[in-house]
Amino acid sequence: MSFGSSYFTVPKFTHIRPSSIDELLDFLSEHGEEAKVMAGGVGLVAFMKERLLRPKYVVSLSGINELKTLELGDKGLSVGAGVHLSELENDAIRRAYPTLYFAVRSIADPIIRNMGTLIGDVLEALPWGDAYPALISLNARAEILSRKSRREVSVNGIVTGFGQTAISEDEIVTRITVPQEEVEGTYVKFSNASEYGLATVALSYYPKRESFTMVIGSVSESPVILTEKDVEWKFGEPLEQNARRLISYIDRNVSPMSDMLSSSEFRKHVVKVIALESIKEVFKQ
Amino acid sequence: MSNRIIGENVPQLDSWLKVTGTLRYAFDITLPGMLYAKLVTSKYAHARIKSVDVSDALRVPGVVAVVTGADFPYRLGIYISDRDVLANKKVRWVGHPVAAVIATDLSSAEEAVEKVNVDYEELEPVLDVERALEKDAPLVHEDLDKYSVFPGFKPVPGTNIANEFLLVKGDIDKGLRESDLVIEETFRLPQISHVTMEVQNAIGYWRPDDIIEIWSSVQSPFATRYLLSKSLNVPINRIVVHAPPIGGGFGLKAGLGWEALVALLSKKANNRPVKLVLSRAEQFISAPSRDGFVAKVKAGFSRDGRFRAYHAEFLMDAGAYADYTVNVSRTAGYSADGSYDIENVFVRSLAIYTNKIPTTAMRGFGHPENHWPLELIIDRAARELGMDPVEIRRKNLLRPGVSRRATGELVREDEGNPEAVLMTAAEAIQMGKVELPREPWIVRGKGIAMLVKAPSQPPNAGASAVVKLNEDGSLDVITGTGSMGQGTPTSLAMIAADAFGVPLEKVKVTQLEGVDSDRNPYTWQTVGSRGLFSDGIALLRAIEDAKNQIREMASVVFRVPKEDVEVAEGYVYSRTHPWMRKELREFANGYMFPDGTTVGGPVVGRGTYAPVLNTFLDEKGHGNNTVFHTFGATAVEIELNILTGEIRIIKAVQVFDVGRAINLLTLRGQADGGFIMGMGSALFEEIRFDESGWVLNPNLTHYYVPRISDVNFEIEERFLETPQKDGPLGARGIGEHVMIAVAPAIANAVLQATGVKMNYLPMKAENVWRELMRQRPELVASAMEAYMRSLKEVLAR
Repeated sequence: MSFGSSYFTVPKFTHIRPSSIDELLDFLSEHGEEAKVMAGGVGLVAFMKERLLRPKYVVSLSGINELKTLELGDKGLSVGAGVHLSELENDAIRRAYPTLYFAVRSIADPIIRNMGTLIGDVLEALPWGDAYPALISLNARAEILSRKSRREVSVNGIVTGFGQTAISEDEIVTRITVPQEEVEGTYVKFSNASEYGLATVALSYYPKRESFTMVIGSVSESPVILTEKDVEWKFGEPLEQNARRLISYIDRNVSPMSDMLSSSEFRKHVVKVIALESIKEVFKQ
Repeated sequence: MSNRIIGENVPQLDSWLKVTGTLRYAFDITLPGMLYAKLVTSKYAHARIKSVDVSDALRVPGVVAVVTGADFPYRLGIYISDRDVLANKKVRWVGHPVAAVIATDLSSAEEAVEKVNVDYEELEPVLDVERALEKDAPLVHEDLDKYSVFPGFKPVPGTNIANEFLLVKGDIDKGLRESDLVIEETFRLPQISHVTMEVQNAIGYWRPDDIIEIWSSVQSPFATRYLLSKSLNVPINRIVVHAPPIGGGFGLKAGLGWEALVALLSKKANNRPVKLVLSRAEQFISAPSRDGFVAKVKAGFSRDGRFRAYHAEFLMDAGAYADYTVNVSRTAGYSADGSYDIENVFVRSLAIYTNKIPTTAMRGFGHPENHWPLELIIDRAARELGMDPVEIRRKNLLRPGVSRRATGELVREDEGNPEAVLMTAAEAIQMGKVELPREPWIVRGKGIAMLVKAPSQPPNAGASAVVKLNEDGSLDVITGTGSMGQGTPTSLAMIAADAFGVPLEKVKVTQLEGVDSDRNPYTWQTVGSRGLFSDGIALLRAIEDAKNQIREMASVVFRVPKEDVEVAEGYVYSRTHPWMRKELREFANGYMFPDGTTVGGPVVGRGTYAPVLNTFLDEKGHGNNTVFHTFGATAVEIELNILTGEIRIIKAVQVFDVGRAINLLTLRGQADGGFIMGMGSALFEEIRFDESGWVLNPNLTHYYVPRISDVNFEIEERFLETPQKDGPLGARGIGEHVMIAVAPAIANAVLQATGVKMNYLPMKAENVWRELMRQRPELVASAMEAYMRSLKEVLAR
C-alpha cells in the first residue's frame, strides 16, 4: 500500500535499457538481485520515492519491441509485458473477455492506465490489485523466462503474499495469455472513500460447459476462488435459490482481513452484496 | 450608476493563465543561487529530544548546513505564540519538524535527511481531547504561561487548555428545566485537511543588507510580515513578503506558515535564498489541518417547537499547536446559536492541545463545527415533536431588527432575510415531496440546514485601496487582497469599471499578479469572506477620492461648481450643462489647456476601511464583534443504498442572501465548489491516526477528496439580494458559507430517509452501514431479502 512519500526524488540508481529479451536476460542473470524491472513504472517509482525499494539498477522494458505485442485471435489473447493497460480498453477485448475489460477500466485513472501495464499490475502483488483476480477467473497463463529456463504457469499462484511473487530475481514475465473460449463475465469493484476497492468480484462464465469461476479480491492476501461446484450451483434453477447457496458459501468460507479500507465485518457484507450483483448481471436473461 | 456589468457572469480575469498553466505561483519561482531545504521530522507523538547528530548528514556532497531547533529559539503564533520554528527540546506530534537540511539540490537534501540521527526519550502521548482534560494527563505545553497571548484569549497554564471561551445568555438551568423536550447527544468531527492543489512552499532570502525577502504561497502577506517581525524581532520595514497568486488557501495559508524557517535558513546559509516545498505527504503530516471536534449538547424545546435552551460543551482538538485554533474555538463558541433566537444559551468552548497534527483556520472556521450539532439537533427535535424540519426552523429563526444574538448583538435590519433563505431552499428542493424508492433497497431522503456567519476578525481588521488613472483612461486598482481563486480581484475590477463607466478591459487589478507587502496598500488578511466587503468599501472610497480630484480639475475647466461635475460612462461632464464633456483620459496627469497651462496633477485615489465600533467579547461572550453576517441554507436530496451504506447526492440547493450579486459567475462557482468541498468532508474525508499517533492516510489515494466523477448531480444556486446598507454596492461575502451547512443537510436527509442518526463524520459507506446495523438492523435484513427476491424474476441460465 502506498503511504505517501515525504520525498520528491528517488534514491540514486543506474538506468539500464536493453533492446532485446536476450540482452535483458543476460543482465538479470548477472545483476538480478540488485535490479528491478520497470514496465510502466507507476508502482516501482512510487515505492522508490517512499524509499521502500532502493534498487541499484532499474531495468526498463521500454526498448524491447517484442514485449509490446498485443494479440487477440484464434489462439486467445496474448499480452506482452510492455503493453499498457489502456491498450486493453477497446470493444474487441470487451466482447471477448468482458471480465478483464471491466477490471482494467476500474484501475486508477486514464493517465495511470496509459503508463501502467497489465503484467505490472499483477506483479505489484498487492491484495487490492484488479487485474490478478480477473485473470485468474479467465484461466490466464504466464510465460516466464530466465537465462536458464522457460516455464509457463497458471497466473493463479504468481502472487504469493503481500508484495511477494513466485518470480525470482533473474526471471521476467514476458507475456500473459488467456485461452480462446466463449466467456461472459463482469468485474464489480466496491470502493468508497478510497481509490482502492475494499472488495471486488471477478466473475467469468463459460456457457458452453456451464461453468463459472468467481474470484473475490481485496479481501485477503490472496484472492478467494470459487466455482459452480463449490456453491452447488444448479443451472436452470431459479437464480434466487442459487444465490442463497452462494451467500451461505461466502458466510462459511470467506473471512476477510481488516485494514484501513474496511473492517472485516463490513468487507464480508460487501462481498455478499457484490457477489449477488455480479451474478445478477451475468446470469440475467 | 451604470448597471451593465454588476451582477453579470464574468469569468475571473486570471482564468486564461490558470487553465493554460502559465500563471506563476510561488511554487514556480527559482532565484539565482537558490538552495533547497528538506525537513527531518519526528517519528514519535511525544518525546524528549536527547540529541541530534548531524555529522553524517553534513558529509553528503551538496549539503550546505543542517540546523536544529536549538539554532532558532524563537516563538511563533498569531493569537498565542505556542509554536517553535523547529522542535526545541521535545517533539509534540509525529511529523513535527526536528531539523532541516540545506543543500544545493533537492536530491542531496533528501539523501541527507535520512542521515540525521535523532535520539529520543519517549514520553506518554495524549491523543484524545477527553483524555487531555484529565488531571493526570501529560502536558503538551509545560510553558503555556510564558507564551504571549492576543487580547481576548484565555489559555489555562498547567492544563492542556489553549483557550477557554464562554457564551452565556439567560438562565440555562431554568430553560432546560422548563423545556418539554430535552435532547442530549454527543457529536464528533474528525481532523480533516485543506488539500490545496498547491502545497505550501516558501522561499526565504535574508539579504546581505539585512532585509528579509519572502516569496510564499500565503493568503495574508501583511499578517505574515507582522508576525515575522514580532517573532524574529526585526522591524516591519525590513521585511518584504511577496505573495504570488496562490493555488488554493482555505485558511491553511493564513497567518504565518513556513516563512520564519526559510528566512532563518537563508541567514544560516550565508544569505543565499532557500526554498522549502512540502510534499503531499509532508503537507498531511507536518503541516496544520482543521481541528477535530467533540460537542456534548443538551437542547431544550417546548412542545410547540420553541428552542428554549441550548447547553453545549465544545472540545476542540487543536493538536500540538493552537496558534490560530484558539480563535476557531472562540468563534465556534460565540456563534453557537447560529441562525436561531434561543432563549437560554450556555456554551463552553475549549481548544485543547493533543499530540496530533497542529491545527489552523479552515474555510468558515468554527462554523462547520458548531453548525454540525446545532442543525442536527433541530431536526431531531422536529422528529420527536412531530414537526416539519422547515417549520421548526422558521419558528426559531432570528428576526432582523428585532432579535439579539446570544452575544447581545442586535440582528441588523439590513442583515438579510433568513426566512426567505430558508423558504427558498425548501421550495427549490421540494422538501415536503417524498420520492418513492427506485429499488426496495435504495431509499431517498431530503435534508435542509441553515447557516449564518460573520468574518471572525479583530476589531481593527482594516483594509485600504488605491486607484490610479492612466493617460489612456485606463485604471490601476490596487488593494491588499490576493488572488486564490475566490474571485475578489475580479469583483473589485468590476466595481471600478462600473463606477467610472469604462469597459472591464480598461481596469487592471494588480494583485492578480501577486501582492507585495511593501507596495500594495494594507489589508488585514485574505480570510473570513471579508475581502469583497472590506476591500470593496475601501475601493469605493478610493474611487470617490479619485473622482473628487477629477471634479476639482473639471470645475476649473468647465467653470462650474465642483458639485456639478459628474464622472461616469467614461466621461467627465457637467450635470447641468451636459454638452460640456471631456474624456476621462484628459484628466489623467492633470488637465492641460490648449496653451499648455495645466490644472491639477496625476489622479491617485485612496480609500480605507475599518470596522465600526467593534469590540472584544467579555467574559460572558457579550460584545459587538461582527461587521456583517451572511445567511444561507443548503438542501439536498440523497439516495441511500441500504445494502452498502453508500450515499449518492441526487440534487443540491445552495441559497445565500448575498446583499448584491457582483459577479454571478463567481457566486455560482463558489456555491458549487463549496458544496463539493463540503460533500467531501461529509462523505469521505478524515485524517486517520493509529494508536501511536501516526497518520495512516497521508496521500490522496486513501485521504479521498471528491473527483469530478463524484459530482454527477445538479447543483441549483439561488441568490437573494437584501442590500447591506454599508456593504460595497450592498454586497456581503459568501466564500466560506458555501460549505458550512452541507454535512448537516446530508445527515438530516439520512435521518429522513432511514431514521438513522449520524452523529459523526465522514458518512462513508462503512460508517453508515454500521449505524444502520446498530440503529435499524431490520432495514438491512429486509433490504438483503428484497435483493434476493429481485433475483426471482431473473432466470438463471
